[in-house]
Amino acid sequence: MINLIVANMKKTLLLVFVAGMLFGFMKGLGLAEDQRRRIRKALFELNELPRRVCI
Amino acid sequence: MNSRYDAIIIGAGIGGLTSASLLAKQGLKVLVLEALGRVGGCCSNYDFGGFRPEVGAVFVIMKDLYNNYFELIDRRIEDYIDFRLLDPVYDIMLEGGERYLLPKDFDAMADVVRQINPADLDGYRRYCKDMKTIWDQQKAAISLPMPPLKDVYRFKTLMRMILNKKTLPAMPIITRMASRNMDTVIKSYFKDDRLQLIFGWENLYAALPVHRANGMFSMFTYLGHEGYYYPKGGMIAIPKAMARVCEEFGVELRLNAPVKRIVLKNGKAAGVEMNSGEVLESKVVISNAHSRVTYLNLVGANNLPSWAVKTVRRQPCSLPAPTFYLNLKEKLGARAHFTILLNQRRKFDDLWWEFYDRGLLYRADDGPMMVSVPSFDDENLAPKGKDALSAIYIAPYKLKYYNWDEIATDWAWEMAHSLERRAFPGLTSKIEAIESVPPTRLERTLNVPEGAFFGLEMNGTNMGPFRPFYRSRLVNNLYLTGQCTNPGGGVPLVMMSGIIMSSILVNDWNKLSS
Repeated sequence: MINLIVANMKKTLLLVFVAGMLFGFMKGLGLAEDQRRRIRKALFELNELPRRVCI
Repeated sequence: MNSRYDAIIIGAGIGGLTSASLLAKQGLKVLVLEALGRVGGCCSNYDFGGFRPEVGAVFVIMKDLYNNYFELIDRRIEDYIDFRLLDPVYDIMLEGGERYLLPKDFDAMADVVRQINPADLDGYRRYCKDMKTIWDQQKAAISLPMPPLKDVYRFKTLMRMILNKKTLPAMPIITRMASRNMDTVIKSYFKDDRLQLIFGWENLYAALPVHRANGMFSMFTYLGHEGYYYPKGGMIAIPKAMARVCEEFGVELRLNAPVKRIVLKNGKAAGVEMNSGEVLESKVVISNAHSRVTYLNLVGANNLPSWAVKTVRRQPCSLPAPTFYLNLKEKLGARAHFTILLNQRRKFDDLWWEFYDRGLLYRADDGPMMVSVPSFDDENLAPKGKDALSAIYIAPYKLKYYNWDEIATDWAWEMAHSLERRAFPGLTSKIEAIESVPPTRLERTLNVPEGAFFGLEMNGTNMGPFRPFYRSRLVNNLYLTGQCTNPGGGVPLVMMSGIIMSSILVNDWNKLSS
């Protein structure tokens, strides 16, 4: 696992950077608990859609 | 294949009975298996010591959709069901004691609006005009002569229904409404909080909070002007009429016959195994049960890919509909079949954020309640001189601090006292018996996960292609109908689901028989 990360250091750093930016952005928005819950739910629903079509 | 039955239908709900009668009319040998001792599932009346309050569905709207079904089976609806018009539609009670009877007539309703806030009269007229435009388009679609069953599920039929001469004027309004939530739509017509509530509480029929209900649900209150009906003999008169039709077409109906599992052979549904151990074979199996029950319990999670199990399990259910029933030893003195208790707009909104989403119970006086007195329109639904009452309220399925089975009766008493304080003085002294039906009990008795009568949520991510398809994509020869398929929950919609599913099956039949 560590070898894999080291071998792809550039991509890993980019991923960490993007995740950090996203986290900071969300934090900066100062969302209330309800809003955070709604966003989480919306993301969850979005993620489920491709599989729902196959049922 | 040498099966005893062509189709076995699990569940004698509206979807099951619709498809049973239509398929039997096409010459298929059909068996319907119902776990309970009565037909109807979530559209029924419950016998509570001679009192017969409703289970689930409480009234009839979009009567034309019922006509479509009767047209397909070559019967006249009048020969089977006696619908009675409800007028006034509702007795609405607002917090602070304001009380309004909502009449069917437009002008009489305009007087009520004027009485509440004359400034919103224009908004009311705009609301009625817009809703009428949409309703005319939908009415033109559903009043078209029904094509043969085989042609119901065809692109050209759908297009013929959608594209009629009323479509063009309705499109801008439909687009505006469908792209917003119900809360926003209602606020665009009414400025007064009380009118927003009166015209905007019926998201509860969609079993969704107002901010998540699509704007199209704003039409519900308008439909009161088109007519709300109640069948003579209670809501169970509808499935009973359908069971009669099934009998006429030679359908075999077994009550008290719970199914343990769907038998699979080479990955195909090939029959069912009953709780009694009896195995019945068929060419196809149709499930009128909730999709979660069908896939996880009847097909079995071990027979499905793991991603499918997760997806089925995670698909959200609509709101539960906890209910309590009261047998009253005297007449209640209700002013209409339905009494709706609403509180302030702020409290109505807070209910979702502060309580429902967090799994908390609110103060009984702060919650909306829908009270139905079936014996108001049909005296036979309660012993002479007495009244049957059922009240539906909002509460989450999962409680954070309590167990529903432990608190159900106490909570029903709490709600009954609230009803006495808010609407019917002296109510508790008239109570002969009380019965509480929390979501957990609905789940056990009706086999509806989370006690959700409307099945899966009816919002954008659970409708259309994202709702389980009529022809199962996971198990061959398995078909689904009912509130978990399109177009959704509610008696006329479930009836449509049964019609569409039957049309698909009839088209598949040659392939299945070979």
